[in-house]
Amino acid sequence: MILPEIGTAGQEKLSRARVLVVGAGGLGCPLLLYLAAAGVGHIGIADGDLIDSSNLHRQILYGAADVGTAKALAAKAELTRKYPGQEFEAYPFRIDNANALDLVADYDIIVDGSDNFSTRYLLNDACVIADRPLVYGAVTAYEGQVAVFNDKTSGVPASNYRDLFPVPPATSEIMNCEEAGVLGVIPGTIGMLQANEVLKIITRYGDTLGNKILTIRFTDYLTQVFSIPARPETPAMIPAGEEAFRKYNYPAFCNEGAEEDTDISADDFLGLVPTAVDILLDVREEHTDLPELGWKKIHIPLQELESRSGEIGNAGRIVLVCQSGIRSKTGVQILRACFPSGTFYSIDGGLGKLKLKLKDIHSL
Amino acid sequence: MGIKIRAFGKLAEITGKSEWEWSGIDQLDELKSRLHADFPGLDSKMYVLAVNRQVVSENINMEEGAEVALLPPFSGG
Repeated sequence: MILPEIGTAGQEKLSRARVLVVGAGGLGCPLLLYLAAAGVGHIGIADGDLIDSSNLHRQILYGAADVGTAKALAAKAELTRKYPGQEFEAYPFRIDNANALDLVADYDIIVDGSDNFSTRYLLNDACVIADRPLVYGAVTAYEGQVAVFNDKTSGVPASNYRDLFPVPPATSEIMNCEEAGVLGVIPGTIGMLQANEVLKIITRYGDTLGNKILTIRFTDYLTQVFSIPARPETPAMIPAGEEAFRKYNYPAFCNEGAEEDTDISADDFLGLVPTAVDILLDVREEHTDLPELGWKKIHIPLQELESRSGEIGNAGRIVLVCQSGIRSKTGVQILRACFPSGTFYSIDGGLGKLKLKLKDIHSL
Repeated sequence: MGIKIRAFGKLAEITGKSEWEWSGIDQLDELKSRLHADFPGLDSKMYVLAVNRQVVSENINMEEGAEVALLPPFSGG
């Protein structure tokens, strides 16, 4: 490597580096190619999807003959063919809260090339818990974003994805490249900028996008960098450790799956580990004491819920409870209308069912 | 010279333009109220505000010539 900022020392750092790329799609393909070509010694490729012919325009590691095979395996095969001296590990499954921490802990730098909010929040939290820098990239039709989260090298408190976007948008807002369509060059360019950030972190050349987000509008090349200060309330929103992380329901937090399905069984509710911003909301008219389960408890009668919704505006997950589970279901509809991007559950069978379950547990 | 506002991503479809200027705004909260009054479609959208290239979550005083950005989250990849 001739560049004086990189040199032989930089080349050695690259060959020793371990980088995990989550998502081997429109962002992941160019970034994997450039990281491998730059000589990054150990690259993990995590993707649970299969190659689809409609994605070949942006997933440039693959060709027509690869359609139907697992992206992670096809990417590993192609990269190994081109760069046989380097190590490539394929993880052909979707990263989730059961496997993420082990996977992340095995690498120095994590790259988010995913295409959905639940993976983005999950990776962010895993990187905060495991203390790894996260190189983020995301695109919409003609715009892209690049950032480095949890970058401890800048000297100021490191900010992360939740400092930028504390909660995900409502399902109705979400469009990914699969549904909305995108020109291949847009994730291609953003993926290459992510690769550049990875090379900066490894070789220490230049300044990273730590605590910053770069946005590019491709229609006119308006390019801006925004700083992201750490918010004091963010740490409380992130699961406090491994156990809480494994129990955090990311798809539900990101409103993925059946949107109408607001009911949570008493069993599943008891399995949730509340963070400091989560609330157990009693919507009965007459309030009596709720069981002590570690949740912050608030009482707002259903009738007053709409007018007093401001009292819970900044909460995390909100679990509604009433006597039988009927009022609480209505409560979820009311709160959904007030906070389209909030996360709300109603305990199925209400306090009656919950108390029975607790009795069962205590009599064991 | 007032305040320059830029809307990114799908937000620009709601505001109908990606850049414009407003005057007579002293505080960020006033700007937020005016945004939602003029563009009710923003009510159901998630976005953050940046003032002079810094993401802000609290109400701050707005200076003449300030640049405000409405940044939505993107999920595509």
